[in-house]
Amino acid sequence: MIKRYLAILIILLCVANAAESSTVNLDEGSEDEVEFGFHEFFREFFTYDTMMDAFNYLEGRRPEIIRQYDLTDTIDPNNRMGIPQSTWQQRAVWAIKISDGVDSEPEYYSDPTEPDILIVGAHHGNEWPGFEISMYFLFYLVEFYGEPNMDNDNDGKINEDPIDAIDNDDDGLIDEDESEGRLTWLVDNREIWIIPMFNPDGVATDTRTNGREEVPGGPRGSTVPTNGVDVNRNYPFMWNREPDPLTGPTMDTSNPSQSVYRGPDDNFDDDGDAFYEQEYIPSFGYKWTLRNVDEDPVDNIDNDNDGKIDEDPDGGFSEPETVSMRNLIHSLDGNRDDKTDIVTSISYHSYGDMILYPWGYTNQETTPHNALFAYIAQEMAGFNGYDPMVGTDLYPVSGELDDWLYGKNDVISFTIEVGSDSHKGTPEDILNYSRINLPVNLYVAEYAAQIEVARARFAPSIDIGLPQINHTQNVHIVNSDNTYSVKVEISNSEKLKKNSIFLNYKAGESGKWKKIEMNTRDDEIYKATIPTQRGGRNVYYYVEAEAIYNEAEGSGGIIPVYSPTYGQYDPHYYFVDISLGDTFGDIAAMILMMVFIFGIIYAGLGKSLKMAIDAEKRKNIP
Amino acid sequence: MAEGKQVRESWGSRWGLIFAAMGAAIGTGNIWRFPRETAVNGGGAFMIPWLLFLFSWSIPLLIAEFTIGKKTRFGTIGAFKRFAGKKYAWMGAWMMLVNIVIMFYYAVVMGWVMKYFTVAISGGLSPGVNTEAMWQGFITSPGQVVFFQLTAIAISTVVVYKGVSKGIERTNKILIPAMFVLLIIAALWALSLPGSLNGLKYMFSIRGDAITKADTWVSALSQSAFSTSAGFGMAITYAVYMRRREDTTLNAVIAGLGNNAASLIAGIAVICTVFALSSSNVDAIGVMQSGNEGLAFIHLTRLFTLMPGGIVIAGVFFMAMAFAAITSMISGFEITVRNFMDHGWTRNKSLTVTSSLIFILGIPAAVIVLEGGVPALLKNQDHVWSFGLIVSGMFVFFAVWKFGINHFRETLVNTEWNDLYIGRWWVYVMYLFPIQFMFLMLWFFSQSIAAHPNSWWNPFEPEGFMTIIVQWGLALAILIRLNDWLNKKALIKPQIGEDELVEVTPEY
Repeated sequence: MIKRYLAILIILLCVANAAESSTVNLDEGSEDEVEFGFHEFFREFFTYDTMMDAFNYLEGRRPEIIRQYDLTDTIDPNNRMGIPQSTWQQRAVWAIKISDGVDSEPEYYSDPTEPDILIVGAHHGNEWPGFEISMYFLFYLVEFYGEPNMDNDNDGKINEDPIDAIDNDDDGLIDEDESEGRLTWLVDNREIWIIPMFNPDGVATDTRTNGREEVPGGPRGSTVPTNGVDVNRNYPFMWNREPDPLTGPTMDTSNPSQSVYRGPDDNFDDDGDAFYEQEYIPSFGYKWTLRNVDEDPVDNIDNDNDGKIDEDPDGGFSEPETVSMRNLIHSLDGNRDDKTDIVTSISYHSYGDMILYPWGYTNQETTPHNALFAYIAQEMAGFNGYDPMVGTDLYPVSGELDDWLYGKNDVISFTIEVGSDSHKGTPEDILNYSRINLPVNLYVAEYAAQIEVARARFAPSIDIGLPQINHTQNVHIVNSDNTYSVKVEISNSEKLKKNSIFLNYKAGESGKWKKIEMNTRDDEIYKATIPTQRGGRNVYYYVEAEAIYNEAEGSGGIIPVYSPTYGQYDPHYYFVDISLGDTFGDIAAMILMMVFIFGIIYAGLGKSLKMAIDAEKRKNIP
Repeated sequence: MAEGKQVRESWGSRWGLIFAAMGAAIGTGNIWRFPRETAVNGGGAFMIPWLLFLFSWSIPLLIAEFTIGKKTRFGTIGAFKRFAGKKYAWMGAWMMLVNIVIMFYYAVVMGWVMKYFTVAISGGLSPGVNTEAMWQGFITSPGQVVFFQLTAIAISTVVVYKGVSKGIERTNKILIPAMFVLLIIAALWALSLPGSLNGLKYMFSIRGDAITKADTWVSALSQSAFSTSAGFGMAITYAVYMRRREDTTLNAVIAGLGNNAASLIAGIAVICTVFALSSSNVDAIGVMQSGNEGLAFIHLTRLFTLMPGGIVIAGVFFMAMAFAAITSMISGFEITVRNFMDHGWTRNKSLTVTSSLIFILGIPAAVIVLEGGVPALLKNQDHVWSFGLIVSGMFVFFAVWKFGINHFRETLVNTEWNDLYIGRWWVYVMYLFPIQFMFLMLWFFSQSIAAHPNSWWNPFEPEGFMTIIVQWGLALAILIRLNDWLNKKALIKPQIGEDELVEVTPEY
């Protein structure tokens, strides 16, 4: 019988070993990119309709951070140029505002303490990556906003590889674990305007220009047909400077049949100073010439020496799209300084793998902010690998968005040409270019406050000497009997607002934040102590301080700084362990109990065994 | 050797009996259940009632069982028939049934332990190994689980096949001291770790909130009841092989105290290891709350990999646990085998049937593993039948009560061969028995309902309430119905009274 068992045993041993060896199974073919659920929306190009569906879907998910604006609603219905309150083909120019509390604020409200940024796509209707990249940014913000910091890639680490095009943790995967806290911080502390499809008529017909069919300009007030206006030639700043006599001719932007048509001439006496000049010409008689119409085009110069600047433009803003843009930019002025709150902008075009910045109209001079532009463009290039250059180095243009945004509104404006060989690419390319440009958008959003100060100072970089709160967390676990002291070191402390440095902490994920002021002896090292907390949970903390700049330097003059970088959105934490009692009394009680329990059991056992031994001796005596 | 008289196996020496009884009492429950229950129920606060119930439940019951077994010289069925009356033979059958169902899954559990022993000694616990995945991988490979289950059964079969003195006695005399030594090594090693003081503090500090909780007390009672094998029928069965002049009372006390002595050392080994190596006390408490298998096969195994010399200690620990399991399992085999032998079968035939039953009917427990590595049937059998033990204990009380508790003490317990006089206290403690039983049952049922508020009524909820009622009800109905048959057919071996016993002392 035993032999039979042994035989079965040996057979089963073989089976068991075979089963074990077959379970070795490693995941092969790991991918560089991590898939998010919303990528389903990026398998095909958006259309105007599916884009609006997506807006509604996203607003349904996060109504508190998304607000849809139809910019064409802002067009004056009684405008003298006959611009409709829609695009020429009855579409809307949709802008999405992403920020916290957008559902409860007035229309076009701009919080003066939150820098604004603008992302816009598809000025040219045949350049589709622009709206895909914009939509991707939008989806990405909504996807991660308000989520707890998660281990998105299930590797046991949290937020170890944020979106920055770098494999931060050297695991072969790029940007696979973004910090949810960072994105929530961005949304809560910035106002992000996204216009994915600026020229929906053009997108609908896959043409560069907008949906205009005729323009004034024919004889005796009649119209002439047009193939549409290139809205990126329709901004009034340096509107008719092209072709630049010095940089050589390109295309004729004044020709209504050209795909770069800049729109009709203005021909209005915007400042009401027009008059007919009487001139006697021998052998002809009197000639009456209309003067002071379009005599002061938009170029920041008082061309007619009347003390007013750019009061009678010669063209531009003739299209519903560009008027929408103008109205948006002008309405965003929360601090009432007659300057838009938009700090920086990116307009996506394709193609060329380039990052362009003003000027676009001339290469005879650079902007006063040229160093800052170059610095930021270089940072962007670090993410998407494109070539930074002044716009005009590609080719000179007039009446283009960046020049107007910068030239007239001080916006640190960029144009990014996406892709190397095609205006669109294929649907398979969408995720690729959306992902590589995502960190560019995040970068400008994140550093908008620094850009604002740097702009005011004409600084060559965004390093504005922001104070840094340096904190090294040495202790990650404390006993519930003990307090926890936090020490920080402030660099660039001269910019710190006095008495503005606080330690915030909360016990447990759902606890309430409490604030204590941190003390210092030398203005560099600050300390505070978190009192004892109940055991068995995490205590979260962050340090906040305020950096102060001149009011003129923007951001309301104050930029909050935190440690860690995103403050309460991604705080430090330590674990409070349950105390088992460390006092002398506790130890004594423990020893007493040990003696008691061991005493009863082992002394009892010993005594019993002794009794048994004695009994055996007794019994074995015959 | 007198001609013509019945020849009966018996223990070679008193120490053989004591080690065998201790071996039966000390099982895996001492090593993984006791530390866990202690930790979950407040350490020192748990130990006081745990010690109290050793004297109010376990030892009195062991005394009663030893006495009944020695008096009747039958396995459980015969013992109840003879001692409680023909109407109650089914109670003995219940005891045997509880025992054999527990053996179904105990063999599987012992197989797990042996698997981990082989993993430990073959160097499979290198630092960084994912013990969770290892456990999941193992538990979901039926071939492996069954292989080790079969190995466990084969070892037990060989031991029981060799008989009481040459098999069971000899094995226990080696394994039980060895197990103590191994546990002491593991405990000392644990104490040498920095931070082990936290474990001692946790284990031996009385927390006020825990000592006043009813849960603590009932958990302590159930731990005491399960741990000592009281109610298993082990003491009845092993008493069959007692020499005529054998003591029953002092041996019961030694077995009970020996069991708790082993628990204490295992407790120190496990709790101090967990507290010393966990990243925080909260973490350690979490580990201690993670269930028997989770504690032993996932967390302790993981912690061993973090510990200096952990590979050695893992081998030591699982070897101790395997020894504890083997010595318990052979007692389980013997309880069933004894009943078949009472039927007139030879040891060989009885054992063949018993082993085959335990293997074949144990396979479902081994292979039915749900998603996530939950051995559902095994859990169900454990849930339902380990508490059958408490009912068995109640049956023993019933038999004693029927006989007359004080009468039992005066005439059967306190015989001339007993080394420890049992005073009237035993009578009073036995009267507490039904109350303790009631508390245990009420707590068990309410736990089964409270843990599954939405599915307790479902007989297929593995750890629910209704599954207990259905399984117990079915078993009791069948056994009571079979009572006549049990009386007439199950025992055909002529009865031998104590006086006719001829001792055969094996030659060494």
